[in-house]
Amino acid sequence: MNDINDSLVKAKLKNSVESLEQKLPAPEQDQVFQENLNKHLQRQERKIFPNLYKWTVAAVLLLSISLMTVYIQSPFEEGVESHKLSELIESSSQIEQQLSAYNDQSLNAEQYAEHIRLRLEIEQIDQQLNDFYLSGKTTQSKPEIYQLWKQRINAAKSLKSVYQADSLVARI
Amino acid sequence: MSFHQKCPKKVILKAQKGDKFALTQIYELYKAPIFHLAYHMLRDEHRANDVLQTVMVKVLNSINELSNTKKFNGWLKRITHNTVIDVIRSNKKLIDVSDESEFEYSPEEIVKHIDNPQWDLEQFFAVLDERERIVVWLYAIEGLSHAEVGKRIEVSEQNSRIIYSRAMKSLKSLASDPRYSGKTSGGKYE
Repeated sequence: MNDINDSLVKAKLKNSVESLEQKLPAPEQDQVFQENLNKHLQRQERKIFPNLYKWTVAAVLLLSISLMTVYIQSPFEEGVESHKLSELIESSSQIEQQLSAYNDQSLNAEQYAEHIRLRLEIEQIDQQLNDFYLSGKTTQSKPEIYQLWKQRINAAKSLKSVYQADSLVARI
Repeated sequence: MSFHQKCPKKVILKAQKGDKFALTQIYELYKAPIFHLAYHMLRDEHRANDVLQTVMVKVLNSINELSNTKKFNGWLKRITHNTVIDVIRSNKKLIDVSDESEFEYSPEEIVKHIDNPQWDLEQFFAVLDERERIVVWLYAIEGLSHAEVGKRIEVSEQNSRIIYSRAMKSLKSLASDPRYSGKTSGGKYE
C-alpha cells in the first residue's frame, strides 16, 4: 500500500476525533483527588521533618558542648552552684542523646502536636541561653542561666515521656 | 478536548514546590482530557476514573523531576498513555500476535468509508478491542510510527502493524454491515 494514502487515512481518523462525545469524570472524583493530594502533602511533610529534627538534635548537642567549654572558663566555675550547673548541662545532653534514638513517625497526631510544641519550647530556651553566653554577662545572670537549664531539662523530660507513652501503647 | 492546555509556568513551578492550590489547578485543567482519553480507550467509566486518579498520583510524585516546564503537556499525555497501556496490559489484552499475518487493506477504500456521512469514530472504537484501539490512537491520532507504538505497548513493530491492519479490517466490515447506521453505539464485539 502506498504511504501517501496511509497518511491520508491517518489524517482522516485524526480529524474525526473532534466528533467523539466529550467525556467528563464524575464530580466525586474531585473529592478523591483532594484526599490523595492531602495524603501526598502529609507524606512530604513527614519526609522533611525527620531531617529537621536530626539537625536540631545535632545543633543542640553542639551548643551544649560549646556552652560547657565557655562554662569551664567562666568565673563561676568554682562553688556549689556552678557544680550543680555542670550536672544540669550534662544531664540535658544525656536526655538529648536518648531522644535522638526515638522515631517521631511512630507518634499519633496528638503526640506529634505535643512533640512539636515541646521542641519549639526547647529551641526558645536554647536561644535565651545562647543570648546570655554571647552577652558575656554570665556572672550577673547566673540564677537566670541556672533556671533556664532547669526548664530545658524539664521540657526534654516531657518530650521523652511523649515517646515513652507511645512505646507503652505499642507494647500493649 | 486535548492536552494542548495553557498551564502557566508559574503554576507548574509552584506545584513542583508542593503548593496545594497549584496542584489543584493542574488537576482542574487536565482532568477532562485525561478522563476523555482513558474513557475512549477503555470504554469503561470506572476504569477511566481509576486512570485519572493514578495519573494524578504519578504527577504528584514526579512533577519535581520535570526540568523543562514547556514539556509539561507532552509529559502528562505520555503518563496518561502509559497508565492506559498498563490497565490494558493488566487485563491481558496485550498478548503477542506474531503468528498472524498482516491484513492487506486498501487505504483508498478506507478513506472512502471515513468520508461517508454516516462515519462515526465512536462506533468504530466500539467494535475494536482495547489493544486495537490503543494502536489506532497512538499510530493514527498521535502520529507515532509503528516502531514507536510497538515500543510503548511492548510488542514488536510488526505486531503493531498487524494489530493496526486488523483494526482496518474491522473498519471495512463495519462499513459493509447493513445494520450500521453510524448513529448508534455499542460494544457487541467487545
